[in-house]
Amino acid sequence: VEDLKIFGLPIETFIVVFIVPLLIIAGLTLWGLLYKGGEEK
Amino acid sequence: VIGLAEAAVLAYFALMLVIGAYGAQKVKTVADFVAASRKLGFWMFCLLMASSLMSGMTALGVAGLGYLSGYANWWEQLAVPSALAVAIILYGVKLNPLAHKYNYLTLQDYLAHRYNDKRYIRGISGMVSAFVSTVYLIGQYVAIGIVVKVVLGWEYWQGCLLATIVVVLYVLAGGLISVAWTSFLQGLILLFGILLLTPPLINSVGGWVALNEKLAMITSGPFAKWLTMPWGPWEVPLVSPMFNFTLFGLAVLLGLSVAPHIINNVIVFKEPKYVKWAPLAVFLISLPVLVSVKLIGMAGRVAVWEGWLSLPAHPVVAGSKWQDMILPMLAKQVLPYSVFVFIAVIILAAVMSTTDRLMLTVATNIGYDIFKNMLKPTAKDYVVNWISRLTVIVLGVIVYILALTPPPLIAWLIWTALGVMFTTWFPVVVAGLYWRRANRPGAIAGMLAGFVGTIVAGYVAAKPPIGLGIPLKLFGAPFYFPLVGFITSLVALIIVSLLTRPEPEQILNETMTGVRAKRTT
Repeated sequence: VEDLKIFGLPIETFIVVFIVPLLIIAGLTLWGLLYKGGEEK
Repeated sequence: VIGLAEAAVLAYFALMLVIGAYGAQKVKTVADFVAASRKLGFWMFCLLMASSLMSGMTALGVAGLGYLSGYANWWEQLAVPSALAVAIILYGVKLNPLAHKYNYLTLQDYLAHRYNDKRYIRGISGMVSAFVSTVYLIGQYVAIGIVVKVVLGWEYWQGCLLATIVVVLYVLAGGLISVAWTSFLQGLILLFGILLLTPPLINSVGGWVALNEKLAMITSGPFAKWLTMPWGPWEVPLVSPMFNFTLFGLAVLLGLSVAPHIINNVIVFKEPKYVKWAPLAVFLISLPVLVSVKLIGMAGRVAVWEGWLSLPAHPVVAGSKWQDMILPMLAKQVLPYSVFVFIAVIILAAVMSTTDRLMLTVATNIGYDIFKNMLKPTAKDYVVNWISRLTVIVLGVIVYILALTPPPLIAWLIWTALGVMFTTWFPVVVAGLYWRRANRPGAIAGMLAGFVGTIVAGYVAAKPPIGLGIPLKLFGAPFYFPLVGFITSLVALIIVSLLTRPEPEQILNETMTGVRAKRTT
């Protein structure tokens, strides 16, 4: 199990390279959907 | 005899001068520049944000770090794009509508309004800006020296000297604000140039998966054991989780978010409603660029390990390779010569224009913000202009001398500058926007305490001959030194604000201060 690799990367690196950015993207999408200010004018 | 490289360099500079001259007719003052920026649509604004990140120095520095520590500092790739999103979300929400209402041109205009002070807030801010820009300038000179060395084969010091002469003359000649537009253009070209450059360079080591597998096999050289890990052991500087957090999670993320070239864009964008989707857009645009440059540096590490590329020795650090050379060196080795020259010229031109802009910033900081605003408000304009010009010449020489002994990594310089912004501006800006109790004495105390705390901690932590070389640790883990300045800044800001009178309610309402402050338009 210790040698499990994805794209040649250890699993924790895979998480930092792929999953964390996806979480940030999800968070920023949520912000875009929920932010109500700045619409008027 | 002029070769292809020399001809390309000359042609590119000529082109930029023409564009600069054309731009100078339309854009003469900061106000003109801001007015032009306000016309940018959504996507152009997002590109402006992403390209502001990209100077030649950044490209070289990020690749150099990729070469050195691989994935163990991957947090940089997340922190830098996130900083753009943070700037829009945390500051843009309020600063942009305020700027439209009160015609702010820069962050300093907001701070002077919110903290009800024109003299000291601007003066101290100008001092910080001059310091930060000077540190950046050293990095740009180093980058110019490196690129000229790789492309034209000149000595490093000759490249730096060329930079000094060209930049000082250009800045003294005037017509400078247009530089900001050529910078945008060049940042944009650099951005796409990097994206085009990446596939062939990654393929030169067998593609991305092969790159990862080969990185894992490397056993010699700095940080070899952790090149494919997202962090190193707890006690190892640079790669430990604590160091990654204090460097990228705090200093880079928050320092970059208040950096003038980022936050001033947030102040001027066209429609307040951009705040909704611009954070996602700038993240998505800048992430691939940051990732690409880092992967190029890693590919370079593999190329050197495989033995088909060799880096020159660092001119100052004994026994170390000159890691910041990796991007141009790898490109030179892999790409056809004409393509390489084209790429190199783009990098060189981008560095040059950023350098001009930085030089101008320091001259303005010293002439106007510090001398005229703080020290001698009665000074005549021609005196201020002469002081600004003198600053350009003196600074040109000082930076040249400092650049002759480059740091181990250009990234050191970038991080120091970001660290200072993180400890001086970030607390004052956030408190200004969200804490009604924060006031003028608190802001002044916070900026000074942050600056002094950071410089002292940096001196203690830096290696001789500059500092004492004592590693700073928290829970047994080394951390990045501006954390100290951040704490002193925060403590000074809070205590002094609480001990003195708040700013008048009217100003707090005008500036929409507070967490729940309603937009009043």
